[in-house]
Amino acid sequence: MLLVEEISIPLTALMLIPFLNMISTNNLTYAYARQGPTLENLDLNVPEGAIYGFLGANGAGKSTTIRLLLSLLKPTSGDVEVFGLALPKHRKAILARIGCLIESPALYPQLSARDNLTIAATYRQVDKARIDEVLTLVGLAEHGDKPTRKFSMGMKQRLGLALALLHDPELLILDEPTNGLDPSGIIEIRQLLLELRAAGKTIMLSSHLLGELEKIVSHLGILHGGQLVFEGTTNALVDRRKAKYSLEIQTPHVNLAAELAGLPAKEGRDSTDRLELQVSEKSAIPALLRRLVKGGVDLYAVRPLASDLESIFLQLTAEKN
Amino acid sequence: MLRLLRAETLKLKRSTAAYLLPAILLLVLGVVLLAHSLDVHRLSLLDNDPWPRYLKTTLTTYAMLVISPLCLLLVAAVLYVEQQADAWKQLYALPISRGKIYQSKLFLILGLLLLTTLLYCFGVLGIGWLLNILFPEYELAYFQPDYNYLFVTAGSIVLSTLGIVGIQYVLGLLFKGLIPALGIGFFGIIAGFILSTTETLIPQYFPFSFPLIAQDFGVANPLHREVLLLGMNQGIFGSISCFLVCVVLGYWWEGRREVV
Repeated sequence: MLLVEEISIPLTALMLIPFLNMISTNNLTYAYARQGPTLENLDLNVPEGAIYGFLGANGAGKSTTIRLLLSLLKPTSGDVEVFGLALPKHRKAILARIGCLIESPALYPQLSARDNLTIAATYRQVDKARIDEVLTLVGLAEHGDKPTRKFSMGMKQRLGLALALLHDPELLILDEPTNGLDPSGIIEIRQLLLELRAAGKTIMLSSHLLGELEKIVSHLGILHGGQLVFEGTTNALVDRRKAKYSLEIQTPHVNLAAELAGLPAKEGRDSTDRLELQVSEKSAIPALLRRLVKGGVDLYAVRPLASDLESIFLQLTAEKN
Repeated sequence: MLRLLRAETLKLKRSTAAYLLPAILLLVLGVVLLAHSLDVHRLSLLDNDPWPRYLKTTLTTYAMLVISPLCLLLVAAVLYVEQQADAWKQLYALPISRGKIYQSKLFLILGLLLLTTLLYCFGVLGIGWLLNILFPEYELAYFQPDYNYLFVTAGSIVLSTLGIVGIQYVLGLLFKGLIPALGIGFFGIIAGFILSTTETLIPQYFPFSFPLIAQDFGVANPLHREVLLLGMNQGIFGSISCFLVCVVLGYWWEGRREVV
C-alpha cells in the first residue's frame, strides 16, 4: 500500500495535470449531401487544460469538425462527447459551458460592440457588468459604443473573442481566431490565450497558420483529407520527427553526394548546391560525412535542420498522400 | 421566451426594420391624407356620417395594397438581421433550443405586424381629426367613428394575412438570400389579386388571395366570402390553416437544418 507521503504532489501541480478529455470523438464521420465523406473515422481527444491546436490545410475538415462539436451538424456516424456528456443528448448543458468563435465573428453591424454583447448576455443570462470586463480583456473598452460595421477585421476578431468569453466558459473552441489581426494583435491574442489557459480554461484552436500554433499549443491534432494523421503533445510530434535526423549540406557535387548517400536519382537536383540528407541515428552522421568526403564531395557547409511544425506537417501530409 | 424576445427586439435597433415600419406607415398615412384633401368636395355629403365611408376606404387600401407587401418586407427585414451578420451559426451554438429561437422570431414578426396595424388604425383616426380641422365641410366632428368596426376589421385583415406570414417565414429560412422569398411573395401577391376577382374556386385555396377575399371591399368576388367555421369565412379560415401548417413544417425543418 502506498503511503500518503510517497505520492504527495503539490495541489497546484495536480491541477495542471490533464486528467480528462474535454472533447472526445469516436469514429466521427460526416459527409455533406451528394459528396464523399468530409471527415472519416475521427478519434479526437482534447485533454482538460490543454491548448489544443487543430491544424490542417483549407478544406481538410477543421470547420466541419468544429460545427459537429457544436451540434450545428449531425454526424453521419460516430459519437461526440464533450465534458464526458454525449451530444446531441446533452446539447444545452454542453453548449452552456462552451465559448466559440466559428470562422468570422457573427456581429450585428448596425449595433455597437456593447449592444452585440448585451444581446449575447441576454441570451445567456449573464450579468451586464461582465460586458465591460470582457471589453477590457480584449482591448476594446474604448470602442464599446462604436458600431461594429466601422470595426477593422482585427477589432471584429477581438469582439468575437469577447463574445466567446462572456459567460466565462470552461472550454473555448476558436476557429482561426487570429484571422485578420496585425502582428501586434496576434501577439496580444496569443498572450490572452496563454493567460486563459493559466486560468484553467481548455482551448481548442484551429488554424492553418502553423507558426502561430507552434508558439502556444500544448497538444496538436493534424487533420488531412478528413483524417487525423497525428494527435498528441507537440513534444511527442517533435520527438517523432527527431527519430530521423536531418541535415543540409552545401556542395558543388550534389549528384555525387546523393549517390554516395544512397538517395534515388532525381532530375534537376544539380540546379541547386544544397542537399537534404536523413539518417536514423545521430551517431550515423560522422560516418556519412566521412563517406562523402572520401568519395570526392567538397563540403562547404553542413547544417542540422530544425524539426519545426511546418516541416513535420508537410512530412505527415506527404506520407498520407 | 421574454428573454429571447428582448434579444430579438434589441437586434432591430438601427436595423432596416426599424426604419422600414415608420417609413411605410408615414408614407401610407400621408397618401391617405393627401387623397382625402384633394377629393374633399366629392367625398363630403351634408348631414351624412362620413366616418363609415372614410374608414372603409382606408381599410380597403390597407388590405389590398399595404398589408401583404408589408408582411413580405417585415419577415425579410427580421430574417435579414441574422443573414447580414451571418449569425445563424452563432445563434444555434447557444444553449437554447432551436425551436425557441424559431418561435421568438415568429412572435416578433407577428408583434410587429400587429403593432403596425394598430398604429395604422390610430393614424387613420388621427388623420380623420386632422381632416376635420383642415376641412370642416367633411363634418367628421359631428359624428363618432365606429371604433368597433375599425378594430374588428383591422383584426380580421391581420388574421387573413397570417397565411402569407407563415409562407414567407418558412421561405425566408429555407433560402439563404432574401431575393427568392421576396420574389415568390411578390409574384404571389400579384397572382392573388388577379385570382380574387375571378369566379373560380382557386382564390379560396390561394393564401395570397385571402386578405382580398376575407372582407367585402367591393373588389373580390363575393362568392368567396361564405362563412365556413366559427364565424370565419374562407379567407380567414384558410389563412389561419395555412399559417399553422407552415409554422409546423418550418419548425420541423428548422430543427433538422444543418448549419453550414
